[in-house]
Amino acid sequence: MFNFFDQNILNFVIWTPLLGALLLLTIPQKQNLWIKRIALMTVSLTFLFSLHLVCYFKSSSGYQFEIFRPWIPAIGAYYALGVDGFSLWLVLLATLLMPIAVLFSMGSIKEKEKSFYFNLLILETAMLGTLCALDVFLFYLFWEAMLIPMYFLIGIFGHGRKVYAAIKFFIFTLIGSVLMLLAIVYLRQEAEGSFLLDHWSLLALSPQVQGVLFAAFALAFAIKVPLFPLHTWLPDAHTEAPTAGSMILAGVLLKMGTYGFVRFAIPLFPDALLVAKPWIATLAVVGIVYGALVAMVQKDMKRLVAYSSISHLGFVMLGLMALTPQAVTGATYQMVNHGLTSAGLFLMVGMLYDRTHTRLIADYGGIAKQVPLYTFVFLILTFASIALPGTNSFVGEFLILSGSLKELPYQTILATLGVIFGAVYMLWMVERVFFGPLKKDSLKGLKDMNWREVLCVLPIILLVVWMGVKPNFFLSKIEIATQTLTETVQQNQLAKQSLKLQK
Amino acid sequence: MAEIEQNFSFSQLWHLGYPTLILVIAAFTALMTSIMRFKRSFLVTSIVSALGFFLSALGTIFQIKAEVKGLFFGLEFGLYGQVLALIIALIGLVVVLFSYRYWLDYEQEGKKEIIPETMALMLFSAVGMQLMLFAQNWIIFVLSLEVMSIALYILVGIRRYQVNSAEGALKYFLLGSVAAAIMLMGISFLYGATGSLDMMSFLKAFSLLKLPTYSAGILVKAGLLLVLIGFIFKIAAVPFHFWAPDVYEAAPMPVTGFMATGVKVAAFGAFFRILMGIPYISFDAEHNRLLLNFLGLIFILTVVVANMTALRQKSIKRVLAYSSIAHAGYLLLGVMSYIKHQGQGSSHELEQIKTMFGSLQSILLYLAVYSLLTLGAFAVLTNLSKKKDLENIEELKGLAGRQPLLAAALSVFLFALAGIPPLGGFFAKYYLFSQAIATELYLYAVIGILFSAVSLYYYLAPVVAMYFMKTEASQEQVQSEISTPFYSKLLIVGMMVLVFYVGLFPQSVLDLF
Repeated sequence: MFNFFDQNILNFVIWTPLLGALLLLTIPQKQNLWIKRIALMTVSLTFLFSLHLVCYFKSSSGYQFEIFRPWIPAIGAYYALGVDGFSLWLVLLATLLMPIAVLFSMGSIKEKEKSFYFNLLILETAMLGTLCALDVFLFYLFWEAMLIPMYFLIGIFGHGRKVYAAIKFFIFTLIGSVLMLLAIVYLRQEAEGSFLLDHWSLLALSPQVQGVLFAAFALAFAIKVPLFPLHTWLPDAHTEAPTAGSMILAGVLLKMGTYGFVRFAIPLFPDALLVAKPWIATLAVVGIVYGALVAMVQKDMKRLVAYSSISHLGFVMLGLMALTPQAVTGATYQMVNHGLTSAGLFLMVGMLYDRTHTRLIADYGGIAKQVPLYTFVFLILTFASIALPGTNSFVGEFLILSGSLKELPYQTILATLGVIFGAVYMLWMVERVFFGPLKKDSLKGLKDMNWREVLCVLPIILLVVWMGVKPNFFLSKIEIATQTLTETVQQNQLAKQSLKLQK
Repeated sequence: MAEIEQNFSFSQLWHLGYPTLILVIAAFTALMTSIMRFKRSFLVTSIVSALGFFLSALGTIFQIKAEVKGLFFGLEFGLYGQVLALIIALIGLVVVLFSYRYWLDYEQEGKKEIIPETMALMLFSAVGMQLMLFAQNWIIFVLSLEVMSIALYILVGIRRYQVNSAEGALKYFLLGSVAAAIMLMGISFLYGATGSLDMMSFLKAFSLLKLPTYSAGILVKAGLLLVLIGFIFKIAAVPFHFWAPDVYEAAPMPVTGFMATGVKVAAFGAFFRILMGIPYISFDAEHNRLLLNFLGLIFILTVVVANMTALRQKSIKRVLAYSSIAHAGYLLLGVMSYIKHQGQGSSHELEQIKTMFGSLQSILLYLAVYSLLTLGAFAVLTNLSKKKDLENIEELKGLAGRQPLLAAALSVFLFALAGIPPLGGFFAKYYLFSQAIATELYLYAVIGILFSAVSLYYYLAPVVAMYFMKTEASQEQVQSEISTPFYSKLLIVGMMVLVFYVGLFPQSVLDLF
């Protein structure tokens, strides 16, 4: 029994949300209490399943909990799943954020609950599938399947210009990924009809071919990250999405882009990467500074958090491009950190919005006395966002910056500007919203967090501190994967150099 | 080339072509029952038609299982034609099933004169489509093309009391006749060059082109060009597509669905069949390149123009018309990869046959999946068109709240048409494009796939209206939407499940071809 469970754990993790979604379909719309209960139970169950991954994750290289079955023999696609140090924590991040999103939405989504939770659960299956797929065809299927539920979440439950934001999000990401599809088709041919990542990493491609394929892959991932100047869909989508949607979008979906770089673009095309490295790193740094500067002048809190994401993801990209073990570990760690803090911040903004129906900073002021608990939690998340020592982001950003300094000195030095700007815009917002005299009488009746909301943020706060104080438990599992990655790239370079010497 | 002497034997004809003959019998029976005008005569007519299509499909399946093949007076029965004939019979069956209620509404409104013949005409049209796929002789081919087209001209204009319907029918008739005339001109050129009406002998002429003494080269080339133009008209590819949006808009909803799928399958099947004959005779590289460049030009024009024009359309029928044009474009890419395979020489003959089989398979799969998706969309739209066809996308506003099932189904079909995984449309598109990559048609593949991403925008427009917009529907509209019959819903759900099945487990579908 345990053996069966252990061997199929990834199936359980990935498909439980889908089963829950199908179960939701059978329940009439009017029974919204049951709809919420089933949704919450499904995502909690998924989270419990995913804890199994942490408990039994072995500290060795390679993929674990692998599932390997033929799927479409005609094109050589396998149903291949597995987890390694890169995806482990992202899987857990996704399964953890989902119950929080559902729990929060129970209070804020008051109509069409069925379609809301249905889309949310489908989204979870697609996200987890993307993170676990080892067969590229399977990966692509999940990758694009993520778009549809997110599109509906933004379009149906969003605010303001939701239709525009939803369509922009969908078409931007789709155009990026169709070219990747052609590159995938080409690579399959080179690999003699195999879609397996393991086979692809053995391919010896000429630098020119690598350049074209890398461009196709990098474009798809860079739009998702998003890398400057492909970021324009992000502020719209994040701002107009419902709170749960923004949480998942910022918390997990953006990481799919950086995860794509780690899993595919970097190991498959090392030669092309060497050429593109300084350019992408420069774009990342431009994103860091630009995102921070634009965040500074935002009037809308949610938009501010959205722009801060561009800035933070820039750090992740910088670390990945540096390709030293330290920087890549830091970048992977920072993916999880950013997932927690930005999701937490969106959650907090969402709570305030549910009470007052405004997100404009100017509409608040001096509410700290009214909502002390809320202010306290918000401050912790702010500190995490600006990477104060003792929080998780400090560890991540420190690793990234110290790891990249040698490889990409100029970019790294410029990136530290972003750290300073980050402190400026976050603290300035906190000051304007929470401190000073109470601005409006209407804010007097503002209620503090209720138990449900506390329950939502509690795991995030605990993790922020835990990951900041005891990072080794998390880092040790990432490090093996990073070492494998950097070693493969280095070996490839060494092999190239020795070839040149021989000639 | 000497025609093979044959004696007309009815048993031989029945043995080879009974699925098509069943359709002929059903067509005449339907015509009879519709003329008689007894009580519930339309129900009987519909049952006869549905039964006809069903038995024809069943017969085709038996024939495929038994590997029946043979020649009969300019008709060549074989696996390729039978697979496509099966698709056509199934299209007919589905259209009859979901359109019954639609026609009945017209009857109840007192516009009796338009009703019963529609079923018979649909059957006649399907007979033409099937014969077109088996035609081996140009005369038979032209005859079956006209059988198909004339029945469709009437079907388009069957709501004769409506001005725009009559206009569309006339437009279709005039342009269709011109296209047929151009094709006939081409055929007469080919006849002049080869002295035979046999399709294969024209293919032989290609090999003769290489001989310096052969003087009819220009005739063959001109003839082929004219025939190709005729085909491009029928499959509605740019620049001969202008009729499609107008005609689709004018035709009653189920007829539009029938045309968008049936005609496409038949015309494309016949078109591809002619090209398929070529590998058996050596086809030299220069002509191969010429043909490829010509088709490539048509492909780029089609994909670009259709997808860009569709972005600005407000009528759902016109959107689907441009979508069908765009899909004809993607199919052309499959044809191009097939031709490219042929031209790559036969150094590895086995390898070449394998890859060519892949191209063929991808085209058949795409035709089948495209038909499924388009029919699904039209099935939903027909159920929403009571008394008046659904014209504007705006009319779909807020449908998700009133008719969740129909809204979800339409979204699934549209997403699948846009090629979003994990739906069936994605796998078909993937398979088609992978063949293009395999033959190194990189530029065409990139253009095609980018514009297929653009197409998402207009496929999303109805979804946006259904899910993101709220509007108070008029009482009348709500009334008409509620009355979706149970079997229609069942049919739509069945098709929706099939779309997911094709997307997730394509292997079992590929094994069919």
